[in-house]
Amino acid sequence: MCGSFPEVKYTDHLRAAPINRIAAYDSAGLPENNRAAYLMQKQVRWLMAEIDRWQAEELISAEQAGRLRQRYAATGPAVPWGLLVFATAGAIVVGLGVILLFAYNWDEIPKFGKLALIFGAVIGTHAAGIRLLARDGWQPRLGDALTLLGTMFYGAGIWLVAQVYHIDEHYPNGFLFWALGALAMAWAIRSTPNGLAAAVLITIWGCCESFDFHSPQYWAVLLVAGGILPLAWRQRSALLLAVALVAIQFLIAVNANYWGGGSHSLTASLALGVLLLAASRLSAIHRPDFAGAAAVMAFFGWSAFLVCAYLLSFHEAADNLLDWSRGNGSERPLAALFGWALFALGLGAWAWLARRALLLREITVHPEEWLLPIALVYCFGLAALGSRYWELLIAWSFNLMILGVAIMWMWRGCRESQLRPTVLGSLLLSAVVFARYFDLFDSLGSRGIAFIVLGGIFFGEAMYYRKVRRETGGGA
Amino acid sequence: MKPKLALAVAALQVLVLGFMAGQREWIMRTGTPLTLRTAPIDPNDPMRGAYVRLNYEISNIPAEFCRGETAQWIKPSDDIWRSSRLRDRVVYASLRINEHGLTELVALREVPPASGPFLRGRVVSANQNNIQVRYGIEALFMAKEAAVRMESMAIKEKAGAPLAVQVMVGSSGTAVLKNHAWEPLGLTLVLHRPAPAESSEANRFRPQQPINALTATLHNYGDKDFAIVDLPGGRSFRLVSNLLVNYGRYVPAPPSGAVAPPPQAAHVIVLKPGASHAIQIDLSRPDWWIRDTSKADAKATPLSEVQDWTASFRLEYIPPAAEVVRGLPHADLVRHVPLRSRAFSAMQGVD
Repeated sequence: MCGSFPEVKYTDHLRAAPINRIAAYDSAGLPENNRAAYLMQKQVRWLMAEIDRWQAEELISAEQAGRLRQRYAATGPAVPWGLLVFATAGAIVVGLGVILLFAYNWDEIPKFGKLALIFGAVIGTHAAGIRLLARDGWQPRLGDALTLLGTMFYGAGIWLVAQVYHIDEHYPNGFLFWALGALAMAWAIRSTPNGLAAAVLITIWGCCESFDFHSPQYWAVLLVAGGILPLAWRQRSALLLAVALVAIQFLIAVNANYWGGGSHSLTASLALGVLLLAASRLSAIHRPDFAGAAAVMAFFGWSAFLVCAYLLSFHEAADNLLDWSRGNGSERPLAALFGWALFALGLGAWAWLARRALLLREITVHPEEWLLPIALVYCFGLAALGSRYWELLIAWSFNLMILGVAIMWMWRGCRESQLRPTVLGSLLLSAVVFARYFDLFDSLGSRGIAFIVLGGIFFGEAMYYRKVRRETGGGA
Repeated sequence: MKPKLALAVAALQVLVLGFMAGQREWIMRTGTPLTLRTAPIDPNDPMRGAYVRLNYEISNIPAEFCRGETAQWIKPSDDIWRSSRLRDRVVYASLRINEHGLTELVALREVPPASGPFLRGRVVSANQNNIQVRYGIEALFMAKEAAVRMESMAIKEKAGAPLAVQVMVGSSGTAVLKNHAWEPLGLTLVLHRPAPAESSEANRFRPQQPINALTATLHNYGDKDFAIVDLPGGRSFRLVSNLLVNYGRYVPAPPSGAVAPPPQAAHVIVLKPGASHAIQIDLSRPDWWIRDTSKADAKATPLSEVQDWTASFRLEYIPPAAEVVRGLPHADLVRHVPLRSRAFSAMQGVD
């Protein structure tokens, strides 16, 4: 029975990943070894369920079932993910509940009673969490959740002490100290949940400073970049990386807007997007063991680029969003510093990619990906010069860029018989046509023709996709 | 995972909380006590619950109190971001304790004073007329019901009475709010305007006329008898410019040499707990005239002739000193602490 199983097929997938890493990239820019790992886990789960069935149907003995389970369960002990996910979520909710409970301000509890409660809660949960972290199996994960609860209690404590002593100082500092406590704990125990809490709290701190006090803090960006990203990398946590990148992107957009106005916000966001896409390619090549990183960075890189390009495809927005001289922010040099630093990093990374792809011929960069560094140079040049009266040129060029990306994704998706790039390209094309419905075509006749052409493209795409699927044996 | 490092971080979190609480507890036990007057309003904080926002008399600092670098902050400037940049700058309010035990502002500086009590605060906003400062003691946290009740009391049961807040101040100027209590005497105003000469329909869209009289009422909200002194013609009161609105442009201009007469036995009025005493003041009399300092040759005019909503004032009850009423009946019941009304404007109403 055992002999009939393709016993090394999935491990070959993993072993092959580093060797084939240069080409290990699918059409939507996502690494293939990530999918391989996912498929492997899925196959093992299926196999374990089947072994149970075979044993129940007496096709194999209990001993054989045990040997089979042992052979294919080498990926580690089963982790009760349901328990852990709910424990982590519970830690967050309980922590918030405690904050709100104390916010009610119970007159019946004396001052020192309240303080004893919160100090006891912080000490108790951290002690229990650290104790579990030292154990084996799945218990460290529960310990992780408990330390997160301890960090939530610590935050509750900050607000409770402020309430007890009527402290009405600069309130974002409360979030900052809370975030620093979470970050320190995250590094001390290499905890993804504490890292997530720190990323969220730093973002809240940065936003409170910007929105409530008009005092954007570049430290917020640096704290996430220097404190959370390395942790995400070390932990190989795609989720933490994603949250950190969202925080960085959001904080840069908000801060640059306050420092230098909307044009600085847009160019800095675009530069970050271009940098992220380059970083995703470099990560896929050099860190195949953290495949999720490349996927996450590619997602946020493309998202930032497409959002910026889509905004600039409207000529009214293009008129304002690419002229730094019109920005009315309070710290324009700081905005320029952030923007140019990201520009330099992004362009440097793309220069390195270009060398590997064009000179050394080591890697393949898809044609539409070259649009990102080109758009970066184009935008920074226009913004520095002041793009007044060039709005139509800018809008047309970004319409063409988005169309180029959409068509390339659709074409490659169909050619390689992959649904995701096909669908994404089609959605992008639709978004451009719908946007132009309102501001480009004057007559209903033109609009009608545009939709007929779009529909025709979709029909053609569907036929081509079906044809390729049949040819490659993937069915209709 | 290094358990020692994890324990150290947990201990650090506890230490942060301990420092926050310990510093305040230390100041509460060893700091210098100051009594500040304030008025409460009632907002809500999602993290710390219900609280009463306290607006201190020393929170809004007129330009004339700004010294050193802070005096530069209030000079006219084309820099539209100046106020933003000044926000949260640390400032120090020099204070003095007056003969009634209340704290008064002496000056605002960017450095601590060499001597005397002071509070450390942060700039909220600054313009060419005043600097608004936050001292970190502007919130009095309490249960929701109590906060709502306190706000209601400020409008109804304790209308016109200041809230006296006792704070303890540490050596660095950090203040901790310790106690609060309503003062027993309250002062409320009712403004009177001349009756319109024409029909009410014709006056419907005209701005209301400036006030020409007011009724000041003193209330005893305490649980003991108090005596007040009511000199003829409302001479126990005086007008005080509301610098935050009129920026010193309009000032009281009573005739030179006008001195309040010494009180007599008939002027001392005992207020039982819950009792009130209303005093009519005719603002058309020269004692209550004002002058526009922006015009070099401007003469004193009655408030009823000032068509400017920024002509904002407070009415201040100034009880005579203890030696002045000595020998008069109920002299021991006379409360000697001055009391200011809420601000009112000649063209508009009471704030």
